[in-house]
Amino acid sequence: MTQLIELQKRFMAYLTEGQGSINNLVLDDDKLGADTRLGIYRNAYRLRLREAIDNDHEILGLYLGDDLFEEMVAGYTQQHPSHYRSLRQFANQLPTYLATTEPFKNHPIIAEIAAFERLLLDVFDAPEVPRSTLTELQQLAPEQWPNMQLRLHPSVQLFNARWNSVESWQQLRAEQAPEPATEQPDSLWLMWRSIERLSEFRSCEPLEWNSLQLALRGGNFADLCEQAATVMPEQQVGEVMAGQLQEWLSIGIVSQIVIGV
Amino acid sequence: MDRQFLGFGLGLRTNHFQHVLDHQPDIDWFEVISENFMIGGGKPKYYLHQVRERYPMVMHGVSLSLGSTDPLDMDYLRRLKTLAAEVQPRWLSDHLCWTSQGGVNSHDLLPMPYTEEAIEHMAARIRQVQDFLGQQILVENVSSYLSYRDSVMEEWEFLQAVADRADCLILLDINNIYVSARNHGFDPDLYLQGIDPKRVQQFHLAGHSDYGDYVIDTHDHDVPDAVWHLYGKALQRFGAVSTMIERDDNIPSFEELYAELQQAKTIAQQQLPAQDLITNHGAALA
Ligand SMILES: [Fe+2]
Repeated sequence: MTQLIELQKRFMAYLTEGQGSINNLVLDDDKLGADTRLGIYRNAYRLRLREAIDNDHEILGLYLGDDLFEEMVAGYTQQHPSHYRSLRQFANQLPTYLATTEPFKNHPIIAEIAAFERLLLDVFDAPEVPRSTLTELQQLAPEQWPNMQLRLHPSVQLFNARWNSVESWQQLRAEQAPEPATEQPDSLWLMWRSIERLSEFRSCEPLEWNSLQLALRGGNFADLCEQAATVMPEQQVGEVMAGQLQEWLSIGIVSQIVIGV
Repeated sequence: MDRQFLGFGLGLRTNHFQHVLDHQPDIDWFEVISENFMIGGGKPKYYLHQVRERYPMVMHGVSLSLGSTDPLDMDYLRRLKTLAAEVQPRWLSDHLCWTSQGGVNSHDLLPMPYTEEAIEHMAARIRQVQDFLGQQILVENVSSYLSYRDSVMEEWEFLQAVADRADCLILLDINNIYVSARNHGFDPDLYLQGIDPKRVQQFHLAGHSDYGDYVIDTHDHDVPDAVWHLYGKALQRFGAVSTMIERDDNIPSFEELYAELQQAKTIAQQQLPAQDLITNHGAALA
């Protein structure tokens, strides 16, 4: 009798590597042989992982085309057996895999498209929390402004692309052929889930990007303004930053205005 | 019998969230997949709460890996308990199987060998889970495509022994009985006869893919006649048991699933006296 743990180890090795000494543990009968019976599980295993990648990376799949997509699925599945409970996370290491594995790493835009698609998934299922409103801001006394800290909505993601990956994603989404891969350092994107719970993204100027980064690190409004003052005349800072904050509130990316002391 | 009878339910699927809220269809209850609501929250969580406000719910898990020789994942159990506190389901269920080993997840419901060692192992883990959650859980039979040389009993004997020793309840998947019966060449009636009605709390119905020599549990087809037929027999054996249709792939319109559920109701009305089919939301499980 094989111990349960030994049986499970051998079964799992068979699923992930397609080999191992499992056959002699499985009953053969006139209807179906052990190999066929085991093959049902092995096929299902591979199909399920393939489908998880396919579901998460529809546009990446279009970018790669069928052959490269299958090559990626086979390679990734082999190198990264799932250590996750949910298939939703199975492809978490896909951007890294693509950035470090031939032939994909020779075209860095591929890893970027994968990273962008994974962030869209994070945007989609980040926790929902209440959003701050413009009214809330209007109720603050002017002297409270410098000390206010902005907690951003958990769905907010910042994506710094070096290639035209987001543009290519959009073109493929619109069923157009993507432009050739072009390097365009510091293409900055803000991603979030709207009040209507739709995933949104738009490009971001460096000023806004740096403000968002600083807000995420816990900087207050005075810190944001101080940072802005390094790139614009001081007398413009107040108006520009107030305008920016109002826009953030209107698109729903601020979940809380905390008044510090 | 003091079994809770919720009536006729459906698995709540993403594609139908909005439809359910807009139309508030006449469905007795919904089953949700626990794992779908355990990451973050976002949109799915919003719908979960909206639907829960309107309907009774049960929670069905797919990754507890009750039969695994890895340690129980306490982090998962804590999150499950938190979700259950939010949802307040009538009950929770998972499967008579293992899904992971050595930290690697197959994302499949893999069959157990039917041995004394496996009964003891599984029952001890179910007791541990029940102690942690503070309630009895339901354990569901899975479809299987192979049997182990080491098995010394039939699947239903194994299921019954685990349930007795763990003092848990049973979710009988009628389609899975049919699928495994075809794949292993046993008589599904013997399966039904081998299960103690006192343990059975819920039924699953589903469709499968028939390849002639074997049948695969795909949940992507309508419930076929053979499964309806076995459902009728199950009702005769077990009486009124909360019944739901599981559809995970190739998901049709809500109206189509609704019509299929009416068929389940019709069969139950043919098999059982009307007073048995009055829903009884009873007291929550002790
Ligand atoms: Fe089931």
